[in-house]
Order: sequence, then C-alpha cells, then structure tokens
Amino acid sequence: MKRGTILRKTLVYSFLALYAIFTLLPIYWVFVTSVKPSAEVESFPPTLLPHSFSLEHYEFVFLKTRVVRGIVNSLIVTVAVTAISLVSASLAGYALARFRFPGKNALTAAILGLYLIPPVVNVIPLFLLLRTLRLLNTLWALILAYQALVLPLLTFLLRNYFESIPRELEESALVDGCTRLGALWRVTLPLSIPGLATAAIFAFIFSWNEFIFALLFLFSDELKTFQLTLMEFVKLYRIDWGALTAAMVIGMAPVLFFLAVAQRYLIAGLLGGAIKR
Amino acid sequence: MIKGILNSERTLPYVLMAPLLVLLFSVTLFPFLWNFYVSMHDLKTTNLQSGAPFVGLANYFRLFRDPTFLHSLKISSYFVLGSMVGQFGLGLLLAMILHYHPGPARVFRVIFVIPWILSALIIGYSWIWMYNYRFGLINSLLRLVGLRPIHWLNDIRMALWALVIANIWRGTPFTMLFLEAALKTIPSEPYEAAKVDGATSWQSFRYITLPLLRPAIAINLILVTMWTFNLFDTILVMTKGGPANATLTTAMYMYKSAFEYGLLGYGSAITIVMLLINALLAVLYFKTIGRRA
Amino acid sequence: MSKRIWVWSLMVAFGLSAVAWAGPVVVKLWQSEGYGLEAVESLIESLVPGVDLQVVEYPYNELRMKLFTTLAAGDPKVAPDIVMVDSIWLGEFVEGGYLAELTDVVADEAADWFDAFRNGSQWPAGSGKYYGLWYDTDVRVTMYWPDLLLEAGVNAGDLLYWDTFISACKKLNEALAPQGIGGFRLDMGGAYAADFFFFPFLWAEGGEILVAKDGKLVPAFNSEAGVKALQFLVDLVKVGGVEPQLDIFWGNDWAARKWAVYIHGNWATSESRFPGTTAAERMKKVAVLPYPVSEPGKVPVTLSGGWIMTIPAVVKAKAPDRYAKAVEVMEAFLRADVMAEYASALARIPVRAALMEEPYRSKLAENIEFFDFYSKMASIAKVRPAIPQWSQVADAIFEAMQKAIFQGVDPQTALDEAAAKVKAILGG
Repeated sequence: MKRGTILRKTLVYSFLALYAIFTLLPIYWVFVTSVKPSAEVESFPPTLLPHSFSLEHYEFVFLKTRVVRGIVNSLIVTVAVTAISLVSASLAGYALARFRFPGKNALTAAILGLYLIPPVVNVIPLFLLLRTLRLLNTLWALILAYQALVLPLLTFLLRNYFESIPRELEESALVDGCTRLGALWRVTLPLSIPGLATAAIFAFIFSWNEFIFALLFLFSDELKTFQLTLMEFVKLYRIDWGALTAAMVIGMAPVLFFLAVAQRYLIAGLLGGAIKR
Repeated sequence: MIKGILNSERTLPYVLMAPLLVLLFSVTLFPFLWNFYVSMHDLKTTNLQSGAPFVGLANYFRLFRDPTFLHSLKISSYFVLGSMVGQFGLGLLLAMILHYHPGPARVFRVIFVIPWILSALIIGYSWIWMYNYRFGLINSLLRLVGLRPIHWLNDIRMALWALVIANIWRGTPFTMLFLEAALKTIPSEPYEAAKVDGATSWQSFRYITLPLLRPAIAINLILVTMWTFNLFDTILVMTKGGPANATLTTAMYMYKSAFEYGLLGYGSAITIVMLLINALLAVLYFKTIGRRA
Repeated sequence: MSKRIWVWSLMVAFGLSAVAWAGPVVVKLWQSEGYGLEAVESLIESLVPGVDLQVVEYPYNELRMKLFTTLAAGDPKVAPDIVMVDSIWLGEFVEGGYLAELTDVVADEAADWFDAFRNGSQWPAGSGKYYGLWYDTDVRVTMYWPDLLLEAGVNAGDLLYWDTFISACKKLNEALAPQGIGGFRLDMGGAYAADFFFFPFLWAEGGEILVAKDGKLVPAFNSEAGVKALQFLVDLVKVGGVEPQLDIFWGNDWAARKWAVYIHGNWATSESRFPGTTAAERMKKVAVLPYPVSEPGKVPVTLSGGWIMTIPAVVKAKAPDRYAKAVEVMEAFLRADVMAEYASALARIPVRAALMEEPYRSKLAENIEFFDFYSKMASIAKVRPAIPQWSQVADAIFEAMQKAIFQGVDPQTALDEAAAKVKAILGG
C-alpha cells in the first residue's frame, strides 16, 4: 500500500515535471536566444546554455527599432479598449445581474451567440465597414474592432461577479435614499474591484495580443502596434532571431506579470466565460 | 424626463444595456449580417472601387466544386482531430492530477497556463524557432541523441503534425482548467460509498468520475473543436498553409482567398460555411448544457 | 526632346520656388525590402530640388497586401506617392483601378526598353497603355563551381543538355558527397519553384503558360512541351538522384559551396553573396551557363522578373500637387545615368538598350559579373503573364509539380488537373 503510494507519487510528479518542461521549453529557447551575443545566436551547433550573456539585442530593440513606438500605440489602443468595454460591460452586466425585464433571456442568448461567432468570420465585412467610415489606418479602427473580442466575455464575467455580491447591501442603500445608479456607484462597484480588475486585465491581454485586425486595418509604420513591430524582424532572406526573441520577451513580460499577480482571478475568469450560461 | 427613465425600474435595465448593444451591433452583428450580402457578390480587390456584381449563390456552388476547398476541409479535420486528441488526453490527465494533488497544483497550474495567454504571433515565432532546421532546440536534441534532424515545417508529411504539436501546447491548458473546475463540482459522497464497497480507483474513475464529467467533457470537446477549426493566426505565422497546401486548413484558405487572391466575396462564402459548421457545434453546445441543467 | 527640356526647365523653376517659399516636399515611396532605391536617393534629391524622398521598405510578402489595403482605403492621405509593384501584380492592381495611367509620362522613355519589359509595363500587355515602367530585372541561369566539376570529372558542357545534365548531377552527387557537398540544388519550397524550374523549360520546348483563345486566356502549360519539361524534373530526381530542397536560402548556400551546380537568379553570383569581392574576382571563382535544353538546336530561354515603378491612382486623382512631384521623381529616376548608378549599386540587370552601351556598360560591368551575358539573357528573356489571377495560377501549377515530383503522379495527369483548376480560375 505504502509502496504503491510512493510509486504513484513519483509517477505523478515526474509527469508534472515533464509537462512543465514541455510548456517552458519554447519560452526558454526564446529567452536564452535573446540574451546570447549575436555571434552565438547563429553559431552551429546551437548552445543549449548560453556561453556568454549579453543585453545587446534588448539595447538594439529599444533604441534602434519601432518597438517602443509600437508599445506606445498598443498602450493607447489597450487603454481605450479597456475603458470603453469596461464601462459598457459593467453597466450591462449589472442590468443582467440585478433586474428582471422582458427580453432578458433573449438578450443573454444573443450575446452568448455573438460570442460564439469567431472573429475571423467578421474580418472581411469589418474591413469594408471601417473603409466606409474612413477609419482604416487609425487606431480607432482597432479600438472599435477589439470590442467584438472582449465585450461578450467581459459582460458575462461582470454579471457573474455582481451576482456574487449580496443584494441586501444595495437595498439598504436604496432605503437610505440612494438612486439605483447611486447604489451601483457607491456600493456595488467598490465591492467589485477585483472583478473589474480581472475584466480590465482580460481586455488588456486580448488587445495586447491581437494582430490580425491590426495587420489588415493599419498601414502606416507610425501606427503599428507592438505585435506588428515583431514582424519587422522577419525578412525575406533571414530572420534576425536575436532581436526578434528579445522583442518577444518584451511582449510576453506584461502578460506573464498579470498572470503572476492575478492568476486566481484570471483562471476563474477564463473559465467563467465558457462554463457559465 | 431623463431622471425618470434612469430611475424607473422598467426602463433602467434597457438604458444600462444600451451602450453594450450599440457596440455589439456595430462591430459584431452588423458585420456578421453584411457577410451574407458580401458572400452573394463577386467582390474582389479588383472591383472594390467599381462595384461588385450580384451572383446569388454562385460563390457557394463554386466552393463545392473547388478541389482546394475540399482539400482544406480534409486538412482541417486532421488538424482538429489531432489537436483534440492531444489536448483532451493531456488536459484530462493534468486536470485529474491537479485535482487530486492540490499541493503541487498551485505551482504547476500557473506554469501550465502560460501558453494559453500568449499572443498567436509570439507562439508562432517561438515554435518556428524551436523547429528551425539548424538552430532549433528540437533538432539540436535529436542530434544530441544521434537522430537525423527533421525539416519540421518544410516537410509535406511533417508540417501539419508540427502545427498540431504547437496547437496542443497552446490549447491543453484550457482543457485542463476546464475539466479541473468540473471535477471540483463532483460531490464526494459517491466516492465514499464506492470505497466502502471496495471499488478500485480505476473503477471509481470509470463508473463515477467519467459519467459525472460527461457534460463538461462534451462542452469542452465542442469548444476545442470550434476554436481549432477557426484557428488560423498561428498557421498564418508558421506555414501560411504550405508546403504544398499541407497545412491549408479551411480558415487558412479563407484568409488566403480573401487577402492573398483578393477574392473577398469568395472568402466571405467560406466564412459562412465555416459558420454553419460552428452553428452545428453551437447547437450541440446548448443541447449539452441543457441536458446538464 | 523639346518636351524634355520643357519638363526640365519647369522642374528647375518648380524646384527653386519650392526651395524659396517652403520646406522640401515629401515624396513617399514604397518598395520591397532588398530593392534599395535609397542607393540613388540623394542623387534624385539633388536632381529634383525641394524634394525629400522617403523610402519605406516592406517585406516582400507584406507589401502586396499592404498596397491593396492602403489603396482600397481610397484616401490620398494614407497612400504613398510612388509604389514599386512586382511585375506579376500589375494586372490585378490595374484592373482594380489602383494605379494611375502614366502613358504620357513614360511612353517616350520606354521606346528604348527591351520588348518583354516594355510590353510588361502596359496593361493589357502590349496595348500601349502604360501604368509605370519596369525599371530593372534579374535573369535565371545555370551557375556552377568549375573546380568542383573538375574534381568530380564532370565536363561543364554536360550541363547544356538534359540527358547529360542528369548524369552530371548523379556523378557530382556521388563524387562530392564525402565532403558534404551536394551535386545540384533543386528548390521545391514554394510556388517560386515553377519560375526557376518549370516555365523556362516549358518555353524552350515551345510551350506557353497560357494562350488567348476566342479573346479569353486558357491554360496551355499541360501541352506536350509542359509534360516534357516536368518529366525532365521527375527524371532529375528519380534518375539523377537529386533530392528536392524544401527550404530556400536564395543562393546563399550555393555561394557557400554547399552545392556544385544551381539554377538561380543572377543575384546569387553578386557581391551580396560574395562580400568584399570584385566582379572580376567572382568571375574567376564561379561560372554561368544558359539553361540546359532537351537537344542540340533548341534555344534556351530564361525567365525575368522585376519591379514596376508607378503612382497610385488616388494620388493622381485627388492630390495633383503630389502627383506632379511624384512624376518629377520618376522622370529623374528613369534618366539613363541614374538608372546605371542604381543598377550598378544593386547588381540589377538593366532593361534598356542604352545601358548595354558605353559610357554605361563599363561602369555596370565593373560591378556586375558576367554583365554582357546577363544583359544578353535579359534582352531575350520571357516574363510571366501579369494577369489578376496570377497568384492562384502559380499555386495550381506548383501543386502539379509537387504531385509529380513527390507523390509520383504522372506529369500529364498532374498538369491536366492543374489546367482544369486554372481554367476554372480564369473562367470565373
């Protein structure tokens, strides 16, 4: 019995360790490449551990490329997407959580239905729509288009969060003479800060990571988002792997940071969108 | 007047929903409906300015006579099937382990989730670098143990499976989290009863866990199928559908038709067919949720 | 001639006034990476006073889509003033109404151009309507390392005919394998493979890719000539033991002596692949030949690509000032001395007769190895039809090549299948 447990534990742990290695290897390979000096990046056979350490690629990426500009553009888009989606999703989420009104179920189903439409399906008409609105090649194109990616998820996320906050707190505020909106603003929202923060992080990650819409809707170099600037390191004749991997590490950093600080909420949120109806 | 609307319990919910609905209408529903219109026109980059002729269902008829499209359906089904088997098998195994070993779970879970939240571009480039013939880690390891290096992404027979591996890497965390959450909802009583009856752990897995997990598994499989079927960003980055169309999934063919060949109307028709496939899956999705409730 | 003087004096007047009253006018030019107009940027700026030429480079694959999405936006504010389009894209861009007609700007100039490129600057080809100028080209040839051939006991003359070419490859493979050197590199990594290994053979056998029938283009590459050409490639692999290569280094690995013989673009013998060498030094190291032909008496053909310099329609229609400036820049670039400077710096093969003669010839030959041979090849080269559906047609033909070479499908069947596909593509 005891022997079996030990054997089982060994098996379990070694499987976890193996899968962790599988998960981390590509990231390790990217990171290691980014800190190798140029000569070592494309030396054959490649060094599994870097022989010498160098920050030259990071220096190059920050000083000599459009990456910084791309980060600024991405932040502009991200902040705008987050602000707009957070406001509209929290209002709607609140309505769905607290009110009973005719058409509620139909609207819920419709939002879920829209969530199930893959974004790729809308690429062509969105392009034509933005062209008609003369918004192509502006960051507004992305700020609008990204709403499609984040709104349904955020709405369900926030609805679920509001539902978890006891109604009674709000009701006592109403008794004290607060309006509905006043109660939302003074009672429910302050209590929902973790939920709102999770939603904001989601909006950030989605807009930070997206690149197909950006590739198709932006033309000017000055408007390129961070992800698009990564593509500049891929040339017809060769890929500048040293610089590219350094830029990739920069791109992973904020996402990994959010994962580290808010993993519990993020994981719950990731599931919330899919499980809850 | 405005105050009245804002304070009335009858009108307020609609006011609160309004911004969301306006946004969703303009960026999702309206483009979605426009898609049908586009798919019935021979819209191309060459007549974008002059206006496209109405062709009715011709784009759809053409689709089913287009050998490349039929080929792409085949590739998609391999891609979906391969990804699903890998993601589901590993995901279920990991979910079980994490569920029954809460100690190490906390550390490992956060590591396992990483691929799920990285951008498609970064995932694509990471794997291109892993698969690089000369400088990639995988071929280096193969050489280390005395095996011949492989042209992962350039070989007609290997490329699709190379993409499947990358996609398993990316998608397994979702299945793991999803099934782990589902395991948490299973009450402990049946297991205790089984233990009293002297059931082995395999038996309690087979006869208690699996049946109770079935609805969650069904939803999970549907979601994974849908996402994998629609996925094309990492494929676009890694192989663009090549070599020799070996990785040309339906989603990738749609992208290629619309934005490489400039056939926007035809591309739209492909998205509608993809959508029908999605809708079929969504119906299954609602059915399984319904059954659970 | 008088027109030219008039234009020049106007330009000077314009230029002076621009300098006097305003800052430089920005002219934005988009090109594919590696085709550096910046080599003559300051020269052009000195010829067109008051112009600030800004060259923006995009990766080759991105450029076409960028041009489409940008020009489809129909907004002169986002459109560049001058664009370089790959010669095979001309049809779709013109049909889409994205490019300005430039007949009055370039027709006189084009009289000096070799036929293929003059026709290729027009749409439809040969119609007399110009949409820019095909300003440079490249040629595809057989290239080899003479010392490696000597070592393997292969006579360079064997590379001139198909049957001896196949046996030469076999011999080279066997003799050089111990050193880790391959005999012949056959690229099969993408649709470009047809440009190097199918179309030139097809043409030399008297075949065509497409032919006009009742005013409509129909596939012709599945003719006897096409089958013969594809069979040659199949034999090369089966009989000659040539292993098709799925990655491509655009000549870098041949230049690094990984292969004895290669069929590739002339850039593979240029300084970009042999850094720090002069043309004369390169001509001592490596050698070039025309494509092999099926039998003595057949004339080898080569395929030429290249770029067309043009102006977006939206600029001409909605921003006349910028259009005028863009025309000035274009005219400056098309001057024989500027083009000679450009071609020499980039090792591109000129497409006009004047540059094959003095005073330009010796300047070009100083930097471009095998200059006389390459420009002779360019003068007789054939080009791909720049029809709007070209990318689909090329994909279908490449698929047939892959089926024949990798999956053992009989060349006639593979080409017939592709032809049926192409027929549907062109008929739709």
